[in-house]
Amino acid sequence: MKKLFTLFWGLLTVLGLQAQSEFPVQYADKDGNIIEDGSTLVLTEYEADAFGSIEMPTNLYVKNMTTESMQIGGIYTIETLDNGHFQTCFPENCVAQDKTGTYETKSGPLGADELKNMQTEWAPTDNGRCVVTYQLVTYKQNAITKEWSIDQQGPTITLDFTLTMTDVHTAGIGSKVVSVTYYDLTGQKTNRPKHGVYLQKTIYQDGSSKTHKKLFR
Amino acid sequence: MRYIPICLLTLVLTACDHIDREDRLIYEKPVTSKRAVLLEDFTGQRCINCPKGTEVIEQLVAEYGDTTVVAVGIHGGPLGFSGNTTTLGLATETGDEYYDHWNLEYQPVGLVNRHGAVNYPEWAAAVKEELLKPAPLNLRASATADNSQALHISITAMGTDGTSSGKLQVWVLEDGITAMQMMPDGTANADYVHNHVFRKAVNGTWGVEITIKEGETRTWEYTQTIEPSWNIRNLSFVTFVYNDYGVLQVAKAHLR
Repeated sequence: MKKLFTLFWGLLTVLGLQAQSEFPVQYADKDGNIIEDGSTLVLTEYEADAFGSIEMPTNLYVKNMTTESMQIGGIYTIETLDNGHFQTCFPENCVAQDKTGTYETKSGPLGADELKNMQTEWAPTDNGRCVVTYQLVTYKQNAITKEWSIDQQGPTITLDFTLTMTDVHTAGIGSKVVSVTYYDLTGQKTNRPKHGVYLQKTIYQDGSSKTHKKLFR
Repeated sequence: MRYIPICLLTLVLTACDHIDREDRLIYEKPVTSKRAVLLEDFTGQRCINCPKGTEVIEQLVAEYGDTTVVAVGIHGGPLGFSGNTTTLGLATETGDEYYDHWNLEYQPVGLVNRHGAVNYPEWAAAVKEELLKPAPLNLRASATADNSQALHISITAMGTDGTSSGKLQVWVLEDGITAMQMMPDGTANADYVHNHVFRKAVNGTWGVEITIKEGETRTWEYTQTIEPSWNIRNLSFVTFVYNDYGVLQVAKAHLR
């Protein structure tokens, strides 16, 4: 995935007061360093995905602290979602939500000592904010029905995404628009943008023009 | 005693008399064909775990054959991609409608003979369970293409066990489509080959109502325009009859 802009890495703000250090699964970074229970990840970095849309990845992992396979999952509450959808592909399936609310993932296995990428992100369609609290849970299986149900609730993390696309132009204000043209990210002109990020070039009557990125979904 | 030879002779002479089928006392049920299973894989190009579902399908098809486990990759839902000027999308409005109709909440997820959502690790067990059930009707499909680039699809159904009521559905599928797919490791694979991709519902999104009595044979003919984006050499057809209790039978045929 091509990175469009590198603003700065998300700022990790540790707010956790009550660590659940004994819980068998923990949040971690890609190197396996444990992220404390109750932490808030402030996320401002965004990328263009393979389909020309914007995504804001968390690069958040989950680590099995035991030497046994665990059945795990998550409960997450989307508190703020200004636009787009919040997506989590954890632990076995992918879910995309476009409304605030509390949701539960499907359960899935996490191998002994395994470090698993949560593949969790916000896919915005415009500037705005998305705030999600995400709690890890373990599951137990009913011996008769073989169905899984939540056993224990573990550490919680808050994902605080903010998208601020800075290329806002002021050219042409107060002047009549003469034409609007769209180009895809390869520079190819298109009349009918579909999904993805496009460059919108607007030419004004006063001769000025402005170009900015526009998301179509 | 003297009548015994006469009785035996009478029996011998009358034993081979022709009796019309309708006059026979023992009814012969039509021969039932082998049960096939419809596996609808709700997938999406943006769904990084969906290739794992495809792997399960490939294993099932290798074990049972693609006419016994009839898999259909229905692109749609929030992780489907309908395409833009540079990237081919496989999601369709019909696929989205199916995803919404079945109240699906995650991907990959499947419907095995339409008995509710099944997570992909459980597809194999669900397929085995369905294969053990009898099918109340036989289905056959065949299709040809003419010079005008239209497909002519013929569906024949025969009732084999009681009266079957439901909807007959006919779909066009395409194999071998190379298009972008997000992979389980988070990378994007532009050379991913998508198989058994749902392309079109030939007889409406939800099919047409039918009723078939035991022993009755009925045929339906459909004509479908070949869309420019389809590779005719890779097309196949799936037909199935379903009702509120699931899929009664399914058949798959490749273009002749």
